[in-house]
Amino acid sequence: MRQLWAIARRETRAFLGSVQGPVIGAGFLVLTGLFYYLFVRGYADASLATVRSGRPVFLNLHAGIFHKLYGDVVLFFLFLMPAITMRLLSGEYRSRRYDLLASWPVPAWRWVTGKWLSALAMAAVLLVATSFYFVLTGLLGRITDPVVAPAWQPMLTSLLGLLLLAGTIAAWGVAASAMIAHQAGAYFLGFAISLGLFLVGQLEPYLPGALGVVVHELALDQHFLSFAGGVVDSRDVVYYLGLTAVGLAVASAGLAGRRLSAGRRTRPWLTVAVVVVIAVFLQLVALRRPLRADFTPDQLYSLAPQTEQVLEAIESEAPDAPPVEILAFYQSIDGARQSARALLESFADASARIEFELLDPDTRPERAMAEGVTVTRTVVVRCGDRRRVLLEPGEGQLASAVYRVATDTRPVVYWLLGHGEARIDLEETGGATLMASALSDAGYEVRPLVLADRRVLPADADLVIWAGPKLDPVSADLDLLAAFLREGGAMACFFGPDTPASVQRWTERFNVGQEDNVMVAPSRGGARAGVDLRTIAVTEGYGDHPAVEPMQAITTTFPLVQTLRPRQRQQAGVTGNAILFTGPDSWAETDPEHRYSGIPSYDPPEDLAGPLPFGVAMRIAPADTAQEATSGGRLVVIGSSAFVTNANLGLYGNRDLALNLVGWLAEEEDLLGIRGRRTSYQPLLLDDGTKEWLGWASVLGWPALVGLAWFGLVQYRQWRH
Amino acid sequence: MIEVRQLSRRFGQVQALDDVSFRVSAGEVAGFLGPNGAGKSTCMKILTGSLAPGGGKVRIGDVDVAADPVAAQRLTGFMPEHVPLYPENTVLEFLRFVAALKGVARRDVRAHLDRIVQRCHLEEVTGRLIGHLSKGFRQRVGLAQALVGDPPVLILDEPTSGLDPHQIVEIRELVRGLRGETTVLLSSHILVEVSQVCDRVVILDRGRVVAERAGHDLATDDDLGTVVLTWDGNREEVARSLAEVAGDDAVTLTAEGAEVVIAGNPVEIKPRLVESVVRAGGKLQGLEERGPTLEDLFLRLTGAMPEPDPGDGRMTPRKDAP
Repeated sequence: MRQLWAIARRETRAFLGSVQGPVIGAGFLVLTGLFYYLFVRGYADASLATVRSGRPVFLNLHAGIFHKLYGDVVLFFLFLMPAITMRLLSGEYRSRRYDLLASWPVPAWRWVTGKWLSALAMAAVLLVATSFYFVLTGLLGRITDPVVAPAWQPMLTSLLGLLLLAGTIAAWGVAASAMIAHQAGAYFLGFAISLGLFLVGQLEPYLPGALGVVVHELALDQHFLSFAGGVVDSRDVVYYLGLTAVGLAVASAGLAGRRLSAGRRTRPWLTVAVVVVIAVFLQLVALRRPLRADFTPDQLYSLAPQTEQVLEAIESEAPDAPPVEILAFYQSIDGARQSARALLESFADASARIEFELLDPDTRPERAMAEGVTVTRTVVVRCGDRRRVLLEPGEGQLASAVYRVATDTRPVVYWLLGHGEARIDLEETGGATLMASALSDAGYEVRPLVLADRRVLPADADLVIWAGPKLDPVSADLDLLAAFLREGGAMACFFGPDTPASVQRWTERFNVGQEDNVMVAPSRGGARAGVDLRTIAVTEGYGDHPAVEPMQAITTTFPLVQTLRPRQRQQAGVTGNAILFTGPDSWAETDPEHRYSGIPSYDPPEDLAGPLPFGVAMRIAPADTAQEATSGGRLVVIGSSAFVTNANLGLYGNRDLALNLVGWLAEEEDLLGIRGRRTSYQPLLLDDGTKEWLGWASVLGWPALVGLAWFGLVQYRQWRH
Repeated sequence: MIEVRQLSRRFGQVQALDDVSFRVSAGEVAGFLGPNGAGKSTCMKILTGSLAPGGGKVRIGDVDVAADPVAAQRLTGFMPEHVPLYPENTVLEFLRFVAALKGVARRDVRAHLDRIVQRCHLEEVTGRLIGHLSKGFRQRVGLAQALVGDPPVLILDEPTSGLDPHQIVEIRELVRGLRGETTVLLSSHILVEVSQVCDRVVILDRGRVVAERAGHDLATDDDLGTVVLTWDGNREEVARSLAEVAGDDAVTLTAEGAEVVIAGNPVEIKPRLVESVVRAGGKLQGLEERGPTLEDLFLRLTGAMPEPDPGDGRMTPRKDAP
């Protein structure tokens, strides 16, 4: 141990004290500084665009800056580490110092390991120097509003991963240096080996099954991905350590071979063979029983225990059932793609029955079309002939979908009829056949429901949709539906200005107040395009609610809208908030003369100015409790009776919104009691002065400071001794 | 303490060592004598474990070097010919490093190194970078690192090469001081050096042991020496006069004067040679005595001159003796 330490220390000091040290250090920092600066600029631009659009998207400082930066450091190390290791042994041969070294009582493996440790120390020094960017980002985060801070946990795991990766490259670099007495030769051999390990993964698509998997598992960069995201996975750790051990064994064999007589030279190679066997064995164990530790602050890459139970259950209860396929359509440039991949990977890890494919709808349009996917961030879950379509699902929603598809428990949707509603068997514009087929495509069972003389609703009803009644229902029907909600049922109601007053009053039992008006949006563009003034388009007016969360920036349109809002005078146990708002240039026309005349006019104070709410989502506590409603019934009321008719459902994102509302009502996310994952939103707004200053500091200032200080120390040592 | 049996080693077509056997007993100072390329360094590398033998056995103490090189290395201190050290370390850093590698107990390191530094006269340079040292000091650092750990066996490859006469004397004294407590094997191509320091000398030529002698046997009074004379005056006459004193075969004319090979005690012969120059009318300008050279020794031991290696001139014996 003392020998090992002495060698590592001497070698590290030699490098730190050499003139190449500060040159390599400064060069490395200029390169990383440049990339850091570019990533921060890109991130700041994206933040600005996001803040301007008012649509919060996935913005995470670690993912947006450091994940990319350290991904590039992998490449730099590919070039740099062989340069650090090349002289470690071949330099000794060339200077004939080898004769002296070999006369000291030190076994070959200690020489090799000691020198390798020094290379590792160098990599550590360089990596520690990059933590400056973390500090700098923290400072930038403090001067912006709101204050944001990069997460340190994934930063540390990234550094750990890079250190392991550097160690692996260094081990093979030392091996190359032990084989070749020529430094340049040692560099190129070391570089070729690490480049080979880096590129071997690219062969995966061209190799059949098992060989492709082997090649994928061998790839140097693949194993860094988890570390970069903040997850330490035993498969990656074992891979790097195993490959390092093999490299060091090869290096030892190369060095020991020099002083062994011909007859004994095979012996160190036997050691290499043993090390290879052990490394492969451990890797297989790790692949079979992976251990993961998620160090991200909000456990971004860990599944909730309930999810894991569900996923294990669908595997153990039906091991021979067909696999559950998950097709996720995310654009390559989408920042959310990374977290979607992580989510899907953890699903696939948790259950052998789950397979997933992450597709870019731009490069694989044929797949998107085959699945009927029109919106990016759509996820299709399939099993046999059952399928469900989800829009940007969180963990809970995805787990529910997987569970439902795997176990074929389809939620049952009842379509209320008998009061002049849109009919699901009528293919005309006023019918709702499109909605019905959209629902069954998304995995729901749709059945018509006529209350007539029923005393209770069907027991299997998960959800009732009440789309545009035209006739007054009997009060017994209204009571029945109210009881259904109080007992934990869910309803989607589409009530416009043309809906009977009795129905409108009924919603007041659940604190939803309908206002007697028609919304008017005098959009000039819309008028020119022949769009009715009374059609309300929503792009940004979505409330902060899970039912509309994935809809941000997707346009939806609503014909003939009446405003409605959660009432102040609250009924006990009913809570909720508005989820849809009209635009700022709209107003609520209250004058009965002008509602339908085509020449509306804004007459304050009777006519209220937009934005005004016209969609609400309520939760209704069970009848016998007065507690805050967290479970129990759910009610969505939209102030437009024709929204789900064939004429409107196909427009823009209407279908997606409708399915999303139904999804929320069917308690998809709460089916298993899994909380949705928080999405990260860390905008970093920088003015031009700060950007310029940042550029100078990271590309020139920091490298110059480190390089000059280091160089100064080298010179001081030279001068002093 | 050192036992070498039927050692051989080949480098491609060149047989560097061929059936070399010798022993050095404990406490003895043994010399390896031979022209450059005779196989001295090769043999020493095999002894210290940095090179594998082609055949034969080497034992240091009770340890077979091939079977347990590290154990053998613990018993050995080695100073290679060109002493390539780490130029970026200071002398003390380097010696501490070697002390750690050789397993000198941590608490003893300071005292141990102090002693070695003193012994090698390195006191004034301990804090200097090795790269900044003169050749002589570097050579001494090389010797110092060999002494670290007080190994019972020291193997020194050409310890005095490239040094000035003063430094050579110092090193010689140092080695003499080791006699009795340490077994020393040193190599040289300089006869006088070896004969003055060593108890026993193994003479190598072209990878073979040519002879093994006691050190004092090598340069006796009976040995052949050479006297170089330069003078102003008639060359032929003086040469004739010299030949009368020393014999026809002994005189060789050179550009400046003549070389005279002498047998017997130079103290008696030199005045007679001076006399003969003056007698022939020459004005003596210079007289230099050279000790017996390697060629002479080889002539005497083998009856033949060492043949120069046709590949490079390195086997040609050097003529300058200290």
